[in-house]
Amino acid sequence: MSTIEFKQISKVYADHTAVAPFDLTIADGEFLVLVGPSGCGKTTTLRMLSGLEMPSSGQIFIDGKEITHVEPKDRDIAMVFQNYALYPHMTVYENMAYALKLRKVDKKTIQTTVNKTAAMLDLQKLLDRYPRQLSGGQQQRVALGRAIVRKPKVFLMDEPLSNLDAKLRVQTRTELIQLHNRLNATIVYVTHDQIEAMTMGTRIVLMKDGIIQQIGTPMELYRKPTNRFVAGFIGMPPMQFLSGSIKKEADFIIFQGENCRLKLRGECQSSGDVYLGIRPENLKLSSKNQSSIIKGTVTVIENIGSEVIVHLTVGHEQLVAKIPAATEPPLQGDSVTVLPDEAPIHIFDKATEKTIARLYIAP
Amino acid sequence: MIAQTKNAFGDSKQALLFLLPSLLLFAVFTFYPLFASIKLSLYNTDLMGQASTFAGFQHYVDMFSSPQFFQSLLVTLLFTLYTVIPGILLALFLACTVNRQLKGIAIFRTIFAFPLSIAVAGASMIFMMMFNPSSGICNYFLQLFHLQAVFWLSDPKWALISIAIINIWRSVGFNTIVLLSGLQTIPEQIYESARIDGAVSWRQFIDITLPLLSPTLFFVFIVSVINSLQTFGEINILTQGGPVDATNVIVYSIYREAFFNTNFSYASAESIILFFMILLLTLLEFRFLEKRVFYK
Repeated sequence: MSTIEFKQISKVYADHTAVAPFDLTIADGEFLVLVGPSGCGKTTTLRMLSGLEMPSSGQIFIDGKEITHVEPKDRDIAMVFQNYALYPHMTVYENMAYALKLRKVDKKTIQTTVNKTAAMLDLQKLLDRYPRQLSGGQQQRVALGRAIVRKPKVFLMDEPLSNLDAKLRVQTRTELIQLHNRLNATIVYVTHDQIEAMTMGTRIVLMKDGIIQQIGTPMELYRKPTNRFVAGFIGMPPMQFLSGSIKKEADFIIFQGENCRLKLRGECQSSGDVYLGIRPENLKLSSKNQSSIIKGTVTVIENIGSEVIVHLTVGHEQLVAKIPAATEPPLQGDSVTVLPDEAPIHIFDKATEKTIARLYIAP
Repeated sequence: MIAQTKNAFGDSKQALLFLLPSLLLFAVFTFYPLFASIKLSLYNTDLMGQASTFAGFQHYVDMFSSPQFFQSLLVTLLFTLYTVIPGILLALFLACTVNRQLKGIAIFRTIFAFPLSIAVAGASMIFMMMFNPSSGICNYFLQLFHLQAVFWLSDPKWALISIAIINIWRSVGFNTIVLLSGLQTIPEQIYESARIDGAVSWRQFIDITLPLLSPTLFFVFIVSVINSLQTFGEINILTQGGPVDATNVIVYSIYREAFFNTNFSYASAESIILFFMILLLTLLEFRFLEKRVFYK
């Protein structure tokens, strides 16, 4: 039941800026995901919120109360670490009870709380075990349990799934979403995995080089990326880019690139050199449209059952298209034409890489 | 199956070959003297230290009925107490202090290794000068604080403590380095987790550092006890067991019995007792380490 507010928070180390000043308000019960490539400042941001790291400037508030320089223990937060950081010399029960013991909660209450949490996470049979006797997935659940027993205002999670194998990661992802729904807690979650961000976050903060690129719901980031980096980070396979130039021609906008010409409709004030961005799932093999064409040569075919991923060379550039498996896939070396479907096509300024327009293919 | 057995046999033969040099050294310099001592302790000896007539357990009986032996035992125990506990506490304090990411900390870590490289004779001479009642620096400082001068090495009340100080100084570097390496195996995130859980510094020390350091602490404890049980150089150089037997630890008593009183069999009996004391400690250590060394 808590809101979090960052006001002009930044972290500067001797020779570089880890996090540039930013403002951010996290609503009560939100599942906020900080995502970005390694070294983007997401973990530093989380650690400033936890109190393990002091910001170089700015203020942090939880529930309107300033906690910028408050000790971690007095912030009423709980954290799940990437490598779980369980106490190796304590049993599962002791690990979960430790924070309560330090807060001088009476033994009976500790016992009920730990047992209840253990039941929720299916840990009852493991309470007497030591962390070294548990599998990675079990350790991860203990780390979660240790956070839950505290009933903190905010849960902080630092890449909690990255040490799990792929199958377990997907399963735990679902469990975490359910847990969030059940606890109705405010969660701040750090990951470098855009799929985790997309599936779990109610809102995503995408960072790069210490600077926030975009804040929004997963679908906002997917549909309306503010720049080329966001566009290329979200989605799997990521958005594809072709370089070229645009110019107005009657009521239409013409994109001209190497082996590629597209007749587009929509609002666009600028002209000149741009990047054109299309998501692989919005490309289809076709030759019907006379006014638009992307000509390429197939280099690799990846058939993953439900769909086929086609890698193409278009002039000197690479392009990936995701087509339904029902379509007869082309063969390696084939010359093919592809066209975007009705989904928006993103236009980025070549110099600033900022989004300048969202256009549609003209019939 | 046959091939496997043959292979295993071949392997163990090869292993034995590699072990041979050390086994040989052990046999000549450890096992043989050990059995020779046991034998000597059961015989009467001549002036040259050769076994002459069989005495059975007579020397052990003599030893356990001698008040001097018990005095030696008491002094040894006190000496162990004076050196081991303060020595480890000091080393633990230093290790915790040095276990930080501060600039120039490497210099301090190197300094800790210095006492290790100074021979016992050298260290004894340094401390003899420092302990000098009239010109030594120790009494100089006492005087600064208007305290009475102490006869460090010639006062029976102080002699054992003075020797203990030298012993602590000599071993604190080693202990600190070992404890420091133990501290560095404790992941930083466990402390961070404890900080968030609500543990203040001293709680972290009690709940995290001490238990996770316990295997290392126990190792240092055993090594320190054995080390202090075997202290000889400082005593031989500075006090020769005196004044009035105040520093006559068992090792020194063995030396005196054997080489001054030419009572080799009695000295052997004493050394066998010392051997069993140390053996017991070593076994204890292995037991403990087996149980607790596999955190992770």
